[in-house]
Amino acid sequence: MTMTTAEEQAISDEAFRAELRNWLSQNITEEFRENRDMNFRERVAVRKTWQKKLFEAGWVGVGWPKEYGGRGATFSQTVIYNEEMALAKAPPTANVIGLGMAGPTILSVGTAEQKARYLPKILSGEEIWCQGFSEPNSGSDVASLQSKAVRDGDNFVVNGHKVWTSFGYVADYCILLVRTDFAAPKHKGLSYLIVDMKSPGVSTRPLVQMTGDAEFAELLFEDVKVPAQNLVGEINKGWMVAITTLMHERGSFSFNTVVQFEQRMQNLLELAREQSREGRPAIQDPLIRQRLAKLYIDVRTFKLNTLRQMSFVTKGQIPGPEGSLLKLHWSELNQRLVELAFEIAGPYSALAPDSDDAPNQGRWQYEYMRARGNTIEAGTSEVQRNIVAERVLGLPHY
Amino acid sequence: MYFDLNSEQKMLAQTVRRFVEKECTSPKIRQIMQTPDAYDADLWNKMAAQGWMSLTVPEEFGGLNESWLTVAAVFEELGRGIVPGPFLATVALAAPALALTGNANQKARWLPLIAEGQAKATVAYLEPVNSYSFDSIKTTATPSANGYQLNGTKMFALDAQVADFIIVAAMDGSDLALFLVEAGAEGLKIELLEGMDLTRRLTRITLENTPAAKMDGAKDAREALEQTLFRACLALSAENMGGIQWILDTSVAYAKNREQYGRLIGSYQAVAHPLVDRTLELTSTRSALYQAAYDLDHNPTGVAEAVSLVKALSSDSYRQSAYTGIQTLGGIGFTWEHDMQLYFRRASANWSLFGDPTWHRELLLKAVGV
Repeated sequence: MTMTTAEEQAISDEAFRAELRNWLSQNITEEFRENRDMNFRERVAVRKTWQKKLFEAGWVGVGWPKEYGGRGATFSQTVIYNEEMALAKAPPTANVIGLGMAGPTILSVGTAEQKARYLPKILSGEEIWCQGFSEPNSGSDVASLQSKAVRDGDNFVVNGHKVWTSFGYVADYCILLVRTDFAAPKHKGLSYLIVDMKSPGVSTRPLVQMTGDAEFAELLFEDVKVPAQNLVGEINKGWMVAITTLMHERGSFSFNTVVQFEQRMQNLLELAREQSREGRPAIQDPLIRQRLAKLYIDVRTFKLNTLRQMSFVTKGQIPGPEGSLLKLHWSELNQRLVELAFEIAGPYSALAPDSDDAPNQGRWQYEYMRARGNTIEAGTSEVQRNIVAERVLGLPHY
Repeated sequence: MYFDLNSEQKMLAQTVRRFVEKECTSPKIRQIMQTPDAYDADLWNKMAAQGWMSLTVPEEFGGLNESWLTVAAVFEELGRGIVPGPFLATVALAAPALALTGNANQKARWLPLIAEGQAKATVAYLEPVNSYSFDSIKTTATPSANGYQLNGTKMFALDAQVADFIIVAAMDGSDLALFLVEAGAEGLKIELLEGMDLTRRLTRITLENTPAAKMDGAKDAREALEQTLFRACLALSAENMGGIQWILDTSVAYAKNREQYGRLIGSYQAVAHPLVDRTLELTSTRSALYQAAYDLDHNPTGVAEAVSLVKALSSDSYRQSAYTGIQTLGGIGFTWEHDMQLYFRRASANWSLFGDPTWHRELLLKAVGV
């Protein structure tokens, strides 16, 4: 009897699932769990050890090509991967920008040398990446940026100021967008560089967020020498490379966040079971139940929307402007989700994340604050709506 | 899960769209909705000639027994064109109910007639109370010489005024059961309700010692009725999705052409952004619909969750789209003349048909063990 390809695929998918589930059950240990007393640098350190563990077993970047340390997994296996990570409540990986943005961009448009040099260490977490796009006067209008690079022999000399740079002060490398032609229209004078953050002239300063945490930073570049071979794509064509990165940020990145939202929804349901309101568990309150159901629908459709969209993006292709819908969806649903958690806590919601009396070690209070950043970071909701209006619906540009 | 329609399903959807554009123009719809029964025999026969009445009928009774994804693709287009008449009641409600609960004779008699477009039918399960629960069913069935007699009142029965038979949920002692009542039966009275949706009719059915045949082909009638409503909700959600698509297409086209203050209004973010929000809801509805169709076709354990999810989501989204559609069009959107009002009315009626979003969200939580 010969098996059909579909049957073979199903069997290899189930073997993949079983192997991963088994591995996770044996390898998620307490040393990879963060506690609330850790600062951002300490958290990243824990995540790096976890990412290294994953990498050594071949469980990070499963959809990436084998030659760079990935697993070359199929789309359905990548879906299974995300499901199993959610189920096992696996800790987060450290290299968010590297895995979600820098890596996919280098895979799409980088040179063979760049791929060989950077991709394996992005996967292993050995080198942490940050993304230098935003500037003090260029937020949503990122193409108006003024940081500049001037060619000098085999190098570019970079001067400029970047802000809101996630992982900025713990990063080893930066994908940096700079202006190389000041005479050209704003989108046509930009170039995209890979910058070693240990280069002379680079300085970083943590920026403290309203949560009290410092996940991001500002970066200063003063006469920083960047080797010419670190140019990604062509000179003055950096905007298209940046769009590639942003599309990945909205598309592929959403794919990975599905795991987090499924975990968070389960945690919210647990909270509603644990918390008592007016003498009965919150989960029995009809008003709370309706809102839980709405969020359940939100999380479920976010997952299905993401899978459906990613299934159209065959390997190596760049996700389209529909990714902006995914970004809108997750950022706004997360705000609704953490708001409900905050409200379920009733009078306890007034406590700060650090309070010993706050439920779940103050996690929800922290997330409640942190979520306000979701509709600003990675492109504000206003910018995402403009992108969908113009590029998906074809409405006129303002 | 399904990520997309296959090429055959896309071709079928195109065929339905072309048919609707030709046969169901706005003047035609408005003519049909003026008739007492919101029924047009000519349109019905043309649809039957396309074979669409046979979509949900098992093959042994002359049907196509199509996948629910294919059925959904057809309903999406019918919803997009706001096609009037008893198609939903017959194809998505009565045919599945009959296939699930009818005995051999009942199926052999009626299913081939449905498949050929010779019979129209519906299911009546709600009563004159504000409840979607089967527990509120009070209509009684008592054994008689030739079968059963039904007594009670049914409300909100869809398009019963043109049905050749009505499947009625009633209490046989302490058990819920389904009964087949033929048009013209003694003691059967059907009154039209003034409904929000002008393209379909809701009815009140009074049963007074009305002769009926028990549908005893299913082990558990309660579960069979639940399974019937899963199918009806899927079809209705597909119809909702088609309606949302029409509203969005119409609103976007208008915003690209209408000029005020020297600019196209679609360039204003205050006009554009609500249309983007409706686009996201439409995308989510499509994903949820394909998942529910997949579950009905392949994964029985996921059906209750997936169907209630898409019914709740599509109902709220359709209504919201209609609000945005009217607002985008401005004055013309608020007129009798513009078809936007027909979609608003359909959205409002579909919202509570087969259970409103509040009801389905509660069902969803129960289905996932919360």
